[in-house]
Amino acid sequence: MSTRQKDAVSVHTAVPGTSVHASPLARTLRALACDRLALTGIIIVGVLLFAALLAPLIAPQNPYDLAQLDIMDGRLAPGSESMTGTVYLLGTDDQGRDLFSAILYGLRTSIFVGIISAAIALVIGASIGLVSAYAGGRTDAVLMRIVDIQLSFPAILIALIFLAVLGQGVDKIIIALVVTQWAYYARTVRGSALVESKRAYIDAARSMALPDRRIIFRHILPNCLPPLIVVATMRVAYAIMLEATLSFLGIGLPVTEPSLGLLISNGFEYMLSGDYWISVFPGITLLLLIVGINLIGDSLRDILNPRREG
Amino acid sequence: MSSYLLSRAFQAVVTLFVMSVLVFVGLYLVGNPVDVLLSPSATPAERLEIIQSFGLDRPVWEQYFLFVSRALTGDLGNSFVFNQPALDLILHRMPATMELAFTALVMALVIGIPLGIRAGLKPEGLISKSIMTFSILGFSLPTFWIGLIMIMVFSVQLGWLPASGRGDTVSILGVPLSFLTLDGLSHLILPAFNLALFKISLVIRLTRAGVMEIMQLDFVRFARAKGIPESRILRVHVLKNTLIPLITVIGLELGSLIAFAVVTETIFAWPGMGKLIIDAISVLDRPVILAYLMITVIMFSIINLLVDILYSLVDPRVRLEGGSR
Amino acid sequence: MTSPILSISGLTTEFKVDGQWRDVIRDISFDIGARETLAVVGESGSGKSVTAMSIMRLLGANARSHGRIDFEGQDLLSLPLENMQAVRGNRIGMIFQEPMTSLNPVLKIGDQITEVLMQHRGLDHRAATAEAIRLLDKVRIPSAAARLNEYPMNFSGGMRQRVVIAIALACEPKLLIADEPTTALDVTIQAQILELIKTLQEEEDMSVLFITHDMGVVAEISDRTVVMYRGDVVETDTTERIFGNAAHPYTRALLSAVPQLGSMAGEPRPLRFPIVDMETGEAAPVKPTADTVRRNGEPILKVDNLVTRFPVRKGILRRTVGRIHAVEDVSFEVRAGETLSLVGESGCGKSTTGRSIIRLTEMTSGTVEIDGRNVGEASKTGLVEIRREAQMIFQDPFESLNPRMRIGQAIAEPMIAHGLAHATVARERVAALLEQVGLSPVMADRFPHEFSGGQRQRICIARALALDPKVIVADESVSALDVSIKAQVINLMLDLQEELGLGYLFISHDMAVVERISHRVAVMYLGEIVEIGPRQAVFENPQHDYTRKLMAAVPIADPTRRRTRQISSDEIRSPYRAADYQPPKRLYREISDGHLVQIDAEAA
Repeated sequence: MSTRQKDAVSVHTAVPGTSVHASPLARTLRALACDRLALTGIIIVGVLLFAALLAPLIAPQNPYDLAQLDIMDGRLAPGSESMTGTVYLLGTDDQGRDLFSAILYGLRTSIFVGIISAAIALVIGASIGLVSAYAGGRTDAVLMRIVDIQLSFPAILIALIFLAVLGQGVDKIIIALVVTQWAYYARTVRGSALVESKRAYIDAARSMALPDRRIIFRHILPNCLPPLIVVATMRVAYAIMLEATLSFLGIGLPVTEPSLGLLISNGFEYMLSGDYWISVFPGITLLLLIVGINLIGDSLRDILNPRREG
Repeated sequence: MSSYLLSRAFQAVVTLFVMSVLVFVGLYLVGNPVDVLLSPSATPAERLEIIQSFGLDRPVWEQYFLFVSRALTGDLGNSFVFNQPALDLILHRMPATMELAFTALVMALVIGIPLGIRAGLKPEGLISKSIMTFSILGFSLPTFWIGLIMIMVFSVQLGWLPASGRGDTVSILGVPLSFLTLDGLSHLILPAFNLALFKISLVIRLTRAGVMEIMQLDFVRFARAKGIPESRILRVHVLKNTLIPLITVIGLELGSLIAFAVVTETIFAWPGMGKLIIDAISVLDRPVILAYLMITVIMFSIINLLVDILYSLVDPRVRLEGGSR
Repeated sequence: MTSPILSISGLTTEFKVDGQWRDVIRDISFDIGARETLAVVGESGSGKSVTAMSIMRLLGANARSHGRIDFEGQDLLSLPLENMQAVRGNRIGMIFQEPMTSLNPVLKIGDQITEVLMQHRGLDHRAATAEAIRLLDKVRIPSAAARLNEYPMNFSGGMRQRVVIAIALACEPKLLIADEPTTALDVTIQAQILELIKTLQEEEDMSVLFITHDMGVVAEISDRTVVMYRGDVVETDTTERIFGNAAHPYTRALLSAVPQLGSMAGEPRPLRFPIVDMETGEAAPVKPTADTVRRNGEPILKVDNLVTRFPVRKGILRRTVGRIHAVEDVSFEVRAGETLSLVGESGCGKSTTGRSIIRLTEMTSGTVEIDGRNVGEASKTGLVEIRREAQMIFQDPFESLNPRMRIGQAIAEPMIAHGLAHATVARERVAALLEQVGLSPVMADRFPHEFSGGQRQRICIARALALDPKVIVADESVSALDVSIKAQVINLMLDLQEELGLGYLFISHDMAVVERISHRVAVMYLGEIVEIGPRQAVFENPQHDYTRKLMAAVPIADPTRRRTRQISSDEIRSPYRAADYQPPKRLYREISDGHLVQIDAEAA
């Protein structure tokens, strides 16, 4: 047997135990499904997402429709019956709003704000990061100095300043969250793009005279995705938490569009008098959402760790 | 070194300038503070008088120029609401915030580092897994909500600790401090722990990741091959390498604690500058917002500078150099 | 043999993988006598390092060993782990492969030496410091006392390995375990360290267990040799007999794949490696290479006065304070079907030369012509055309394939991106290319991680061939491969040269491989070519001091040709120069037809 054939035969024994031909995405998903904590996270987030999406169908009441509210039903304990006989599963708030419905709608707002702001920040940040890594030199130095300076300021401070200037509203809080978050994505992408672009497969692509666009989007970007995905998961959780915090402080969302943070804030004053549920239930929902996302992110970080690949 | 300091100072000035212009112009565009200051029944004449007395009728660049030239003499303007110098207002409340932030930082380090080391040394063990689960929880708990729960449990239900205020303070060099009196300390514990919780989780994770990484490095293996006892390997070889990168984080996190004190101060009615800024934002008290901003920018620049210097002192591989990174 | 100092019998070590114990080495037995040097040799995956780590019991909780390891009458495996601490670093010293990472970066060198003295010998700090200086002197580190307070980052790789040796020998151990101690070092530095270990062994009266993959190093240093293959000891014998008359087929297969410097004397052309069957030990007949060099017509690659320098900037203003003179006034040509090797140690500019030719790195001045077209002046589209003619193969086959791309895609990509073929044609071409490099076409839809190192390098070669290049720049392309795989890939490259008339610019630090594969050779030092000529002329009649020094440093895989060398502490010089440095114009002397030697600036 010639040497050429010999090496060809040995491939079948070279890599035992690994699933043959599985793409990196498939391998990641499989690993994720095998991790108990991640699975818990996926289930929690799945249920909450589902509930948020279907809020108008599930919720017994439209909490924004003032006509449906009865102030006489204010601050009823969980499980109480209303004047009209419906049961308030999680009680009502001070205006007689069904808390279960309010939480579903609040969840909708929180998730919407979190995901949209994270997505916009990701696109902006990742583009800037790629440009910075690719251009190098002075452009890179200036962009990264801006990122550094911004990151040396806490997110909440920057959000406070922007909201002070912009005022309240869903669009405004999204802008504020984007402004506070883009730099994280920029730094992550730039960092991994620089690492990747120094690796030999990029040299190989360049030596084959592939077009720049192809090198960036087919080679560098896909290999920057793992850290980007991890950062994005964690950042969505953080964005949701930050929005809730700002709304709690009364400078985030307006009262007309209560997110979870605002609901908690509303219940604050009644908490000391024993009507705990108005704050506690939205709080638990928020906590579950963030824990769920973080569990997924945490497990992704372990799975996508380059030292474990290959 | 001097070129480094110069470039850092230059950077701080540029940041100050950019931030102040941004906020100044932004606030100018957003709205007229006069509407907030005046009662709706004020006559047009009263209105005009107020506008002129605050210089609000001049073009924005002129207002800004005036602001800067006064700021250089230490005058950041009078609060529209309190009618006191904004700088005094903030400086007066700064010690409370700083005390809260520092206490939280110390808590985060004292609790976080040992737990992180434990979790990093035996990552597969049950204790380590529990620590990590706790840290995910700590990471996910919204500060403001857990603050409410803490008040409900420890103050309302159990009645162990007070829920608001600073308690008795002792004045050291004219700075009132809570932690030196028993009453003050009991007031400090809840808010400080509330503020620290997120950072405890962060420190745990960073320490754990650091320890796990270092433990796999060749020099640790070599130290074992030298017959150095495990306790010394941990104390001398692993810890130093793990804690050095933490210094940078600590610097950043101190800033973040000062900023996040806004939330904790609101919940626990802690009389710091965070509460002040929230109130100022809701009534568009322009001088106070600007003064707060200027002071935090300067403060953060100083913190970052100190961190960099500290870092270069403990890590032989780092030399401070101007400009490049 | 005198009574053994270390006696291993029936050593098996298992690792826990996915909850199951799997043995990595099986039933290992060998002895080391007093003052003896025993080499354990094997390719990657042979378990040689695991054996060393098992002796020191450094493998951690995921591993377990059984059998006996008797050291000075004590079974190390049954010793409580605390008592191992008194053995490690005290009675057995150990050094590792990577000098750059073996030392703690944030502790002073002095502290890292004194801690072991204070631990085992009970010295106080002052006595330990004095002893540390003596130890640094002993490993020939110049001005030892002054260097105690420095950090590892101020030491070169070779100097760090000396510090590591000083630490390992601090307590005058009876046995030194050296796990690939010179693999990461340049060949002249390797020679120094080997010489140092030999000398210290005699001075200290100790035994040495030397783990290595390099048959040359084995022949150079060991009295007896253990050959390992996939976790088993296949043969144990005196080094002379292993090299002269190996019993086991694997040993013979391994040795046949090892090039020996000087074995090509009298051979006019490159030579394939004989491939020995690992089961039978029978060698297949070696097909002689054809004369592939096309001597008439224009050269396929022509490099004239190539200069590549990298500015070193500092300060806020990014002022250029100096330059790395990576490539300085380099000229050569490569003809179709010809292999020119660039050889030299790290930092000599050989890789930068290769990268400048393909314009992966921008050159500072000079001209490069590929197939008559000027690379430096080429427009963007022109460069695309030129790059089709010249392809590059890199050192690390694990790194040079995109981990997220199926290998079929990776090979087809250049054809599709340049519009040379659409999908179906490209697929057929990929299949043909895979076969041409000795792989199966069905592998096209696999990902790189599913292949071994040698296979990945074949894939990289297939990808390079996709554009039908005329010249291939092979940058250390076989350096990371195991010996037997290396021989196969080199044979493949020789096959392809015959079939396609390729010109190779073969960049390597390995003199023995270069001797085997080249038609002509250029020796580089500090960015300059110091000697260039036909392979026979350069190897059989080296003229430049540096060429001679390089050749003298190469360990020869033949224990009967052992050489003794002087221990020096010379370091490889840096090509960093001040910003205003003007390199002198170098002159060359022609020794024979095409054999040029740089005239020393001082001598001229």
